[in-house]
Amino acid sequence: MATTSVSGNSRAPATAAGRLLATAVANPFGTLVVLGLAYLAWTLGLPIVDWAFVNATWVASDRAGCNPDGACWAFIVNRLPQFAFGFYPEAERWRAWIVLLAPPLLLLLAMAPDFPGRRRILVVGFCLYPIAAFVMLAGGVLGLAPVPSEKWGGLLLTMVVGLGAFVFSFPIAILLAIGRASKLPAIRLLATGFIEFWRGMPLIAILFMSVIMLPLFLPPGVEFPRLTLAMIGITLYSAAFLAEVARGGLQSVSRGQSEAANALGFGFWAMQGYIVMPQALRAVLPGIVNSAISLLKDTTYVMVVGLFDLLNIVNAALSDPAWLGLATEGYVFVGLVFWSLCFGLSQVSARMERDAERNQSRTPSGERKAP
Amino acid sequence: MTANASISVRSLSKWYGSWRALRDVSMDIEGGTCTVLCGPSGSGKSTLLRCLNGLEEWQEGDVVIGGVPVGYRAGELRRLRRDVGMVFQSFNLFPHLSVLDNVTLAPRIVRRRGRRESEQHAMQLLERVGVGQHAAKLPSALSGGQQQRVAIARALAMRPSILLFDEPTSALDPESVKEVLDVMIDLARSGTTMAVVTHEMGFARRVAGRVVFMDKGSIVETGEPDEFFDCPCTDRAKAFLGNIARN
Amino acid sequence: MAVSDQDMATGIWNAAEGDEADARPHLGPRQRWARRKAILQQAAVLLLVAAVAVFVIRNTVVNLQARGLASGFDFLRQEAGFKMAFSLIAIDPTSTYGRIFLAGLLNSLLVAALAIVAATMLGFAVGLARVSPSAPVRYVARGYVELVRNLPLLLHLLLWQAVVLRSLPVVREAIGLGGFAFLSNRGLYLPAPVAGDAKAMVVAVAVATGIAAIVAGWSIRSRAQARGEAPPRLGLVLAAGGLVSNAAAIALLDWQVPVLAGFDFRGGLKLMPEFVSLVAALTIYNSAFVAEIVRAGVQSVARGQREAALALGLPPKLILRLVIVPQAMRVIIPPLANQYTHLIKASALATVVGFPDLVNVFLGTSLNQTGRAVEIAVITACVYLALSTSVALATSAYGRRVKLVER
Ligand SMILES: Nc1ncnc2c1ncn2[C@@H]1O[C@H](COP(=O)(O)OP(=O)(O)OP(=O)(O)O)[C@@H](O)[C@H]1O
Ligand SMILES: [Mg+2]
Repeated sequence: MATTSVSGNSRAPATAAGRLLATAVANPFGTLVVLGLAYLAWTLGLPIVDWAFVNATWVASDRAGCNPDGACWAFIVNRLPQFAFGFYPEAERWRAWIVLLAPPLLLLLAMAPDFPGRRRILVVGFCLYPIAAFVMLAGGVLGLAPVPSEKWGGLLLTMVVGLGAFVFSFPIAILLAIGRASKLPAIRLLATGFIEFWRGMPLIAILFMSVIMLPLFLPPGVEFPRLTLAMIGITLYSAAFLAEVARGGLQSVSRGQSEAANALGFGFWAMQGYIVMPQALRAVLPGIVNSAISLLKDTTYVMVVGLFDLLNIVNAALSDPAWLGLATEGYVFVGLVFWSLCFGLSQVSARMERDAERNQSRTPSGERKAP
Repeated sequence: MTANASISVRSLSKWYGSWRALRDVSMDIEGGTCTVLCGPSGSGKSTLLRCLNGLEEWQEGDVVIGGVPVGYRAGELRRLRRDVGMVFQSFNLFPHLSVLDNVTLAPRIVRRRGRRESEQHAMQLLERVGVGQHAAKLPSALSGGQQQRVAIARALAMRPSILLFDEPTSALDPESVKEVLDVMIDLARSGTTMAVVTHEMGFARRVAGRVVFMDKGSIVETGEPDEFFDCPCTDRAKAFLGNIARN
Repeated sequence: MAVSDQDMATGIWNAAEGDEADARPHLGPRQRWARRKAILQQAAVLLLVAAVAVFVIRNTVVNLQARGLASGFDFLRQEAGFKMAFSLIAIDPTSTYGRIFLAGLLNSLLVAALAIVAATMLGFAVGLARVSPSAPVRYVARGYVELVRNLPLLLHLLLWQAVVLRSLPVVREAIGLGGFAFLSNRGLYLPAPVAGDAKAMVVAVAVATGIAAIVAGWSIRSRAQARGEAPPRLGLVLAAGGLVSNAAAIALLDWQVPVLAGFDFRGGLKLMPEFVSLVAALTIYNSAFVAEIVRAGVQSVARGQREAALALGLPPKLILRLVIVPQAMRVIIPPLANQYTHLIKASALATVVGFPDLVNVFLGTSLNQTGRAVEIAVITACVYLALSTSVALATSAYGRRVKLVER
């Protein structure tokens, strides 16, 4: 093998400054870019820091009370409860708090070191969450006062739509993936058609249609609130994407696994549930988390059917006469919330990918060759 | 079904598309005995073995296990397979489950046994095949020989009346081969009905009641191991044995 | 278990032609049972689906009648009676819904096409910066990607909308871009050719032949490369000729530069601010994803190839251009096409800012006015499915070609 050592000719200089200089000389274009960016950061960054922190106003009762040279965070502070819960009645907000805090707690648990029963708590927690959250928010049972879904809003609604659609779409996605891998042509065709239909449509159009068309499809007299209609659309949309992810996972499970399960007397569904799906889903866990990130960002589209999710409620608050002209503050706040959620999730997915790679390189190859 | 069921194969024929993989195969395996299947690659050994627990569908003939013909409805097959254990060349352990869970899963799910009971039994079996101390590990942390012994324990956990082995040692290094063969010899001596596809002559001579030699989808010759290995009657068997001896 | 119906079917087929005695057509009781079971299972599923369909259709018919809504596709020939703020074909209140549909579709395609081109260029630049040898450049690119892709597209759009509307000058103080184009809070003004004379026809023909020449030249070259031959001179000449004729034709047109007249510019093409912010948001958002696709593609081929190229004595910059990027394209194209499908679908966000795209004027206004919910939904669905299918078909054609080249 005639490989020449690539790094052999450039021994690293001893000091950090020397190293920096060496890199700079080695790549003049990059250095220029960096210098340019540093200049930009200086000229733009200072005013931004001034605006966001130095001259910012945190407490005021309206726009006039804010320093015009700085950010008017007082707007966000004043509206925070509304941005979090929408028009959810104040006396019942504790219910919304529980619904909002449960997912981060579960996520923390997911990142925590293993202990017996942890996995079970997680699975049960995530599966029950949407139903429990619905009961908790809607009320009307267990002595909870009913709160119509028109009053839900803000971050609360974002969570309900995002997590609800994700969890409900999961079983549908698995069935679709199994259907698409079926030997029976009719079932395969139906599953494929369904998946491709929902994947090919813009979510905006799906939301319009679910609000306009779904009521037409229902028997006369049956009416769903807008939130439910929108959630049905988003759930099916997300199911189609998740199904494709799950299909990738199914393909990664070797045929020997289902053979071994068959030979032990497992039936089809037991085999899928205990042997095939756990492996398939584990193999594509990063892809699943990425789908969840996309879905979370896509929940903002519910704006077009008049639901007040976090983005829309902030957007609506911008036209409050007492707080006019604060679009930047509002959008920065929404951006911070979404960015931290999505970035956090993407780090989880990246860590899973790294772990999977490490495991893969450790596993000795003992898989059955295709017959 | 008896504890150590007999197997009877009656003029079995199987086609893959237009390719005939089994031609009119008939054979009997008495309860409690060990039969070794051998023959050149592609001769249909695996296919025959996989017919015995209904992993393959055949077109003609019958397989009778413990006096009951193997049916073709899903439920019948599932019931049959509970009683016929199978060990694969490539182990096919479930990589996402610990060794112990690999062994207990089928009894718990398929036989609906309690967890405590299944685990006790599984530990006994794991001790018996000599991997008791690895029960909590994942299969990927074990050597090939250890994995294959776990696979045997997994099959045994269903308390099968018949065990099928498809080249259980051919993916292993020589040392592991011995570990696995020792377990199999132990099983055969304890009177389990076994059908084993293998080219391990030593194993066949020590425990097999009979050797069945296949070629091109048919059974060419059967006999006692010593007779067969020392003076095969047919030319094809002679050539085959000559080949193994040389390799 | 292991035998599928297909195997059995081919078995019968082959056996009918085979002359060997064992190759008889064969269906044992097991196969007959399996076949019957497959038919029954499929019939059950189809029946269930049909039952749901009948239920839905009956409800829809009843509901439509109850609401007194008409049905049928005849509305496409009716006058729509509304105007569109921006359209590539002339629209006035007498235009039909069919024409409105066409104008909306063209607007959607225009937005998507512009954003695809821009996002690809920006994305490739950022993606290559992600694998730059200079660490600071890599960090900056990574920062861009992480900042952009973790924010919802809709937020990007609203931000652009707010920024564009607020921070751009009024028409009188419009920013001139080289004296040809102008940017103000009313939108972007671009020079446009004056159409409608005989010259336009000549120019159109010249452009068409020019493009054909470029395509032909390029395909001759790439086919030669696929066979591993040196590209023939003819391909190069054709492509160059096409380029020159296109440039000449475009220069020949009468270009009308927008001129400030009173409160607005006159002449040229005016792009609404909504259009500008939509394209900007789509571009920026998708560029981050394109960048990640490019990075993954380059990294997938980089290691071994790079060393081999260095061993050949190629300078590092050429390595990236000549060796790595062309090879990485194989890995890049499929997910890139997928990203384009996302972008095309996302262009429907135009509705939110009021740009008259297909969804806005057809699924929105037209549906509200005519009440033909089912018809309009079906047409819209067909359009988007056709778009994503054509992207998918193009990708798989590319995949086949690449495979051919590899052999
Ligand atoms: N799924 C299948 N489809 C088509 N042909 C098959 C299939 N499985 C096996 N065959 C063919 O059937 C014949 C018998 O295969 P089988 O696996 O039983 O051979 P074998 O004796 O076990 O060989 P080896 O020692 O290589 O394992 C071979 O010619 C093989 O090509
Ligand atoms: Mg075999």
